[in-house]
Amino acid sequence: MAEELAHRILSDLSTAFQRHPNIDEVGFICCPTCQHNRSPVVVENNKLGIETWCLELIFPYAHDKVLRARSRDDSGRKIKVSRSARSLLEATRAVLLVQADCLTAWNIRKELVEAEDLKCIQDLKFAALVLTKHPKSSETFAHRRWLLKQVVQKTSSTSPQPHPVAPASHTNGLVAGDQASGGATAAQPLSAQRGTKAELPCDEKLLEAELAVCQRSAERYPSNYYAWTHRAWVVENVARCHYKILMRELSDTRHWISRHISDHSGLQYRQFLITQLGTHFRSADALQDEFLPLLTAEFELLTDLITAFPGHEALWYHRRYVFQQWETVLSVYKCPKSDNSASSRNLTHLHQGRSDIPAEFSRDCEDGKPHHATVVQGNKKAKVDPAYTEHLTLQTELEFCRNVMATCQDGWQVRLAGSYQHWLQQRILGRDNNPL
Amino acid sequence: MSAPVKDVTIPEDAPSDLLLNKHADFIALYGAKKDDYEYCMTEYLRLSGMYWGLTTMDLLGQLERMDRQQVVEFVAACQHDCGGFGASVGHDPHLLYALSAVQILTLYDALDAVNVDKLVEFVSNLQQPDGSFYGDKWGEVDTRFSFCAVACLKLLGKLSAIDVEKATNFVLSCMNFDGGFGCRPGSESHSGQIYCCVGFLAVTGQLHHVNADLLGWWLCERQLPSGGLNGRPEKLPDVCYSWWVLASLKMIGRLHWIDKDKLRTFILACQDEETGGFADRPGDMVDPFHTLFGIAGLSLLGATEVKTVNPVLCMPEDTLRRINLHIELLSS
Ligand SMILES: [Zn+2]
Repeated sequence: MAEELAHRILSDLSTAFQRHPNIDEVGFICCPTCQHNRSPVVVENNKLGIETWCLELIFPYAHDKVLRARSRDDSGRKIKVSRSARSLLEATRAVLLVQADCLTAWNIRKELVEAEDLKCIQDLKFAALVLTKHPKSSETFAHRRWLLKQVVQKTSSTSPQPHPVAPASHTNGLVAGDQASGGATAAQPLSAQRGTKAELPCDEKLLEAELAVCQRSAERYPSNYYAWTHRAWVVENVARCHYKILMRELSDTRHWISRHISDHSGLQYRQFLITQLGTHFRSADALQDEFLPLLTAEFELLTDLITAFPGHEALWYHRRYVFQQWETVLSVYKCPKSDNSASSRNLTHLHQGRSDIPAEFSRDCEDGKPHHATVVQGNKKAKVDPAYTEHLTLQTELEFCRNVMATCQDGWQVRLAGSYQHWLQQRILGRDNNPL
Repeated sequence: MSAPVKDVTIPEDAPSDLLLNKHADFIALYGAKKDDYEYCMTEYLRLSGMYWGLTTMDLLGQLERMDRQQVVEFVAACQHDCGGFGASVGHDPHLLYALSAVQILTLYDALDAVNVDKLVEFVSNLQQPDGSFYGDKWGEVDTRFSFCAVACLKLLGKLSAIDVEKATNFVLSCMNFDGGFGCRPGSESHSGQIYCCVGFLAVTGQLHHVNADLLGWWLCERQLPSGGLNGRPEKLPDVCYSWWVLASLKMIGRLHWIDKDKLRTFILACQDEETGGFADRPGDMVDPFHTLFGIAGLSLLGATEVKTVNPVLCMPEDTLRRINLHIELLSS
C-alpha cells in the first residue's frame, strides 16, 4: 500500500519534470499529513513544491531502488542489473532532492553520463536545482566539478588551448612560490596572457552559468564554504585564471561584499582573486602601476565598511590579508634579484637587517627556496612610489586601530580592533625574533 | 549601526553537570531504532555514525552495552572488492568510510574481520602525483581525504604504503597566510580543515611545519563571549567546532590559550536533560555527532568521569596504547 503510493508520487514527480522542463527551484511545503485528495507534488511558475508528509514515503522507496542498482550476490560480487536508465534517473533524482549528500546516488548519475544516458549539461541543471534546496551540499558541488571536468576535457580536445596558468603559491601569496618562479622561460605565458587579447580558454556561457550557480548558493546560505571554494575552483579550472575574468570577478564581488559584510567566505574569495592577479603583474612597473592601486582600493573599501558597519570580524580579517599582501609587494621591491642557485646562507645574508620581510618570507629563504624577487623581471629595485609606503605602513595601520579603540562606542568593534593590533604587533615580533 | 555579536546566550537553567548515563542511554537507543525515516536519511554516512556512537560509548566506559558481533559483521559487509568501504552495505566505497571502518574495528580489536591488505591498496591507490588524495575513484580532492588516508594507515601500521613526503607537501600547499588550512590550495581557512591538516602533520610526525603561535592565535579567536567556539569568523558557536578547534590547539600545544571554564560551561549547556545527548548549541536537537564531540571536548578539558581522548584520532587513549600507537604533539 505504502509502496504503491510511493510509486505513484514518484511518477507524479517525473511527470512534473516532463511538463515543466525549466523547473529552477525546489522547496518542501510544510504539511505533516496528507490533507487533500491531490498530489503532494506541485509546480507553479517553474517552482517545484513537495509536501513534507510524502517525504518519508518516497525517500525510503527511491533509496531502496538506488541501492538495488548496487546489489551484490552472496559471494560479494556485483550483480549486473540491467535497470533502465530512466528508472535510475528517477530514483536518484528523488533521493537527491531530499538527501543531497548521498554520494552513491550522484555516482550512479556519473555512470549514466559515461554511458551517455545523461548529458552533462542536463545534470548540471539538475544539480543546480538541488542546490536551491541544499545550498551547502558538498557532494553536490563535488559532482558539479566532475561534470565540469568532463565538459572542459571535451572542449579542450576539440579546440587548441592556451597555456595553462600556474596557480599562485597560496602560502605566501603574490608571486612567490615554486610554480611562478620555476624558471623565467616557463613563466612566460603568464605575462603574455594579460597584455594580449588572449581568448577566454573556455565556453563563456558555461562559465557564466556556473558563476551564477555559485552566486545563488552564496545568497541562500551565508559564508557558504562550498559555494565560494567551488567558485575559486571554477575560476582556476574552467577560466584558467584568465586575467579578464579575475578582474571582472573582483569588480562584481565588490558590490556583493558591501551588502554581505559578515561573509568571510566571500571576502576570502576576493583574497583568492587578488593572489591570482598578483601572478599576472610580473614586472616592477606592473606591480607598482596596477597591483598596488588594487590593494589601495581594497584598503579604502575596508576602511569605509569597517567605519560604517562596526563589529564585523570578517572585515577585520580581510584587512589582515590586504596588509600582508601589501607588505609582500614592498618586500619584492626592496629585495635585490637573487640567484636561484644561491645557497641558503647567501639568502640569509641577503635578508639581514631588513625589517620589511614578513616572517613567512624569511623562512622561505631559509628553506633555500628561490626568493620571490626572482620573478620580478630585470633588476629594478626600490622603485616604489614613496607616497604609497608613507601612507600605508605598519604605523598607519596601528594608528587606525588606536583611533577606533579611542573613539568607537561599540565594545565588540573595539575588541576586534585590539585583535588586529595584536596581530600586527605579533608580525613585528615575529620578524624581530626571527633568527635571520 | 552596530551589529550584535553572533553568539548565543546560555540559559540560566541550562545543565551544568555531565549527564553521563543519559548520554549512554541516548546512544544505545539511537542504534536500536532502525526503521524510521531519520535512520534511512542518514544511511549515506552510517559507518561514520557508528564510529561516533561507539566511540562515545567507549569514552563513557560502556562499550560493552553494544553488540560487538553485529557491528563487526556489518563493517565487514561494507568492504568492497577493491578494498574500500562504503558507508553502508551497497553504498560506494570512499576514504571517509575507510577511516570510520578502521576506527571501529580498532576499538573492537577486530581488524582480522576484514581484508587489511586490500584496504591498504585501496588507500594508496588514491594518492595522486602531487601528493593529494582522491576521496574515491571519481577524483574529488580535499585535505580531509589526506587526513583520512594517513590516519587509516597509521592505525593499520602501514604508513609507508604511501609517499608521505609528497602527501605532506600537498597539505602544506593548503596553508594560508593566517596559519590556517583549507580544503585545497588557496581555499579559506576552516576549523574542520585545520583539524584535518594539523592532524595529518601530527600523524606523520611533522608538526614543526605549523606556525603554532600564528595558528594558535587564530584558533583562540574562535572563542566567543558565551565560551563556545565557532569554526570561522562570524559563525555561531558549535559543539563540533569546539572540538576541532580544541583538538587542534591541543596538538600544537596551545590549549591553555583559551578560557577552559567558559568552554566547559558552553558544552555542558548543550546537553538535553530529558533525552540525553548533545546538540550543536543550547536548546537545539541532539544527535550522535555532537554527542561524541561534546564528550570528547570535555575529556580534552580534563573531565575525569570520561576516558582520556586522543586529540588526533578522536579515540580513547587506552585503545591506542593497546596497539602501541603513539603520536607526538607539540609541547606548550
Ligand atoms: Zn556542529
